[in-house]
Amino acid sequence: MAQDIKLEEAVEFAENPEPRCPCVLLLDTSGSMQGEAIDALNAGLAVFKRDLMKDPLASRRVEIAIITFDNEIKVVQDFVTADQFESPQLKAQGQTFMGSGIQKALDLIQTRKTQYRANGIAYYRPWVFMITDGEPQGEPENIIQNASQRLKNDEHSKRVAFFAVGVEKANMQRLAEIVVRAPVKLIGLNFVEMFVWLSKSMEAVAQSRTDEQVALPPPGWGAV
Amino acid sequence: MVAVADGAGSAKYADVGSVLAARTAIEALDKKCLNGANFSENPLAELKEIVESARARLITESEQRGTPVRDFATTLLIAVIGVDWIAAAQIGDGAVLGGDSPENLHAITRPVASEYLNETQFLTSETAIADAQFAFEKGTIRQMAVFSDGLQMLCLKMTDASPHPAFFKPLFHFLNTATNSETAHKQLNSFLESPRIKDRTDDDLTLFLASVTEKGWEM
Repeated sequence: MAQDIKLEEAVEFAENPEPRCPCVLLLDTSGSMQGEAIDALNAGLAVFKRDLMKDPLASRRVEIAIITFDNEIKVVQDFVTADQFESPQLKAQGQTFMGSGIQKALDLIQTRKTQYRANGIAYYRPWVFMITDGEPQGEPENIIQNASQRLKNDEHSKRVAFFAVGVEKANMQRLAEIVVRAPVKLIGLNFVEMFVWLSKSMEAVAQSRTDEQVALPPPGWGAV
Repeated sequence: MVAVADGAGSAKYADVGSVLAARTAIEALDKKCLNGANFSENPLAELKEIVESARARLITESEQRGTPVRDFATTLLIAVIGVDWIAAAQIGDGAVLGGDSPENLHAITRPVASEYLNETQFLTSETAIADAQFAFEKGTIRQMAVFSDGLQMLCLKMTDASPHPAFFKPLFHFLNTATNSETAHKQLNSFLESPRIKDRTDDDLTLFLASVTEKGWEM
């Protein structure tokens, strides 16, 4: 009679909220991105959603927020789980307020962590993925310096993992001064491959199979 | 007595580390019990010695191979049950649960509370001994469960590390009424490999169950 107990049916699981894997996409939508670049970025974002949805764990655990920076900083999408994420159609115009964009991204993450803790939700180390085709433009130097310093402190205290990707004529040298991890240069406008890589990386984190070391340079889509 | 060790996914020789840690811990436990060590007199010190010897073994291995000790990163959970007591030590995630009935289990040790879910402590770290949990409780233990982190989200309420009775009751009932050890092992394995479980966790899974029946301990 003992062997008749079907464990798969009899055993019930504890109800714990899904742990979250927060990811901020910090996107340059300045004038120079107009045309092919912004179109390719929009296409890449759609692929990102589609790819995350293929993994049941990731679709429940990965949370995406989108912040754009040009002359304004816009939270196009506050944190939402992958299954509820609708990829936007972004437009490009204006200068590049990167410093303020970075501050906004770090603010958003801080707020989210407070919400997680208030609700007893476990989480993984948040990622920021910044994509730019230029360099900071239009902001006073001290704004950029403050943002960079905050970013560096956060990386050092392991509060965030911040990745920068340069597109086309991006000033890679300038970028390298602002961030901690070596910025990656996108090959052509290969956003699709990049977003597929990002979704696979998020899936790996969501399965807690990695610690904080992420392999760069990534295969295929970029160069360091 | 039981030792469970879960190698860190990113560590090069995690498989070696986890085996060495578990084996050294069991050998040390065995030796202590043979020598008549009375756990209930000085349990925390005894447990600390066992964990230290497991850690020392990893250091020796890393020196012999000429690779850094963090390549052998692993968690370690050990538990010993006596007539009217239970002693447990833990570095890293997972838990040791004990109780007088499957509905009445509680955490003897619990998953480590660090900020990020996928960052835990390892036996190889400098602060391993300082950060370790050492526990000793007097009382009648009739059921014990030890598991690594893969299962913790499924069988514990994570906010207070309280065991989920509806998870353990069927498992212990299964254990207590199993007539053939080999078949029982196979069934337990296929349960851990089942789609219901795989859908919720992609981790390696280790589960150890022990229960007292009128025949003595079933494991």
